[in-house]
Amino acid sequence: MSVEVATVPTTAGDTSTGFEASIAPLMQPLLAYFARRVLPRDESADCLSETLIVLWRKRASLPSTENELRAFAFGVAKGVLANHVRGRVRQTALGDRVRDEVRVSAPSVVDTDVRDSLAALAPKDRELVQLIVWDGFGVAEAGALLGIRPGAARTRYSRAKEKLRVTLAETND
Amino acid sequence: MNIEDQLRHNDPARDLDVSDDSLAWMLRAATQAPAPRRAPRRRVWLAGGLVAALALTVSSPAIADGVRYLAQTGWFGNPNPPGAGGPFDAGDSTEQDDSEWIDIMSDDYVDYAASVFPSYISLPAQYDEDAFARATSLWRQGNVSDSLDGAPGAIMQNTGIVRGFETDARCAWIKEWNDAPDGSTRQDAAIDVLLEAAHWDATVSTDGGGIVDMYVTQAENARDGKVGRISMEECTGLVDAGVLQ
Repeated sequence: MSVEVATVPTTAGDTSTGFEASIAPLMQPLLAYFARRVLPRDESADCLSETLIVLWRKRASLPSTENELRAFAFGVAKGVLANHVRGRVRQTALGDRVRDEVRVSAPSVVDTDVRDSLAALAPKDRELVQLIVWDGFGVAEAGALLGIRPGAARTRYSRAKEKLRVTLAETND
Repeated sequence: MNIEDQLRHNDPARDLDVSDDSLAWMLRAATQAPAPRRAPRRRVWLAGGLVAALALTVSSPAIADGVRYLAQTGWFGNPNPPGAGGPFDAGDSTEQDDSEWIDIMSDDYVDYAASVFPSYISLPAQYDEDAFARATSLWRQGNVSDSLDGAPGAIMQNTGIVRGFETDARCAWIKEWNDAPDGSTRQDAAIDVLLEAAHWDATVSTDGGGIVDMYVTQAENARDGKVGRISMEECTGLVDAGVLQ
């Protein structure tokens, strides 16, 4: 799924109102992005709040189209996620309310064979698949986020899906 | 069902239910938040000038147990309480306890970490305990090193190191259970340890809510045959690094 190009309501950097209007549509997708990748899951709220703070600090230079802003925001989120893995995302009061809701939000029941097959992919291929299938990016967009050219992204995505099919078939035999 | 549909069906965020109101509140609050402090959260601190500051401000610690390591800073708990001044801005420190801060980038960090591998942690038979402790410590040190961004040092509380070992050992037992034949004594042994591991000291003491319960449920589901494999999602770093056998 890709997002239509459209003009952001106001220049994000102008005012807090303009910033909020620009970022609001990205809140659920960004939270979901972290919830898919962060353990314990409630810490996804802290990752989201850290992402917002970074975006707010960069408000003067935010892209002006929805597509570009989305890619930019997820690029920031990718960096915050890396910091979370390294233990560098702080728990702050900003995340309290959302953290509580994430905590009581029941995790989805998952098929561990599917999840483990995904985990068995090379890290970059795994992230490519997740960005496309779970986060709704187009293949080229997801590739751009990972620093992969569109043609190579298509090849890697196709190869990754085939590997998933084979692994799952072997598991089910 | 094609592979993409299977993946979508297994989206961990599929049932995520957070209100737009709460997200709007967070978004508004973010625009009013003070500039973030640079100190990272919890047990790991990355601080410019840290190592030099340590050398200048901490006198040679007393040798209590015979062997001391350069990695040991001699600092316990909050190294710079709010308002006390000093090389850190630790006013919002959320460290877990009063355990010692350890210099992760010290040359003898791996030796130190291996020396505090808890005796209550058991490993599957194919692992040598000391080799496992060193391999996982080296892997963790590498992760921190990658994140320094020019800062000269990083410290972590001892409890964080022990918690890391507990997580790593749990991964070894999960892999053991997944690899063993169904219903085998190997699987039984692995489940026994995984149930016990949910209550290991550092796992319990650092549980901000629900972690122990999550591990217990995970092990019970495996024991009761509700899952064919235990997810190794928390272990991908160790798997990618080739530490797990």
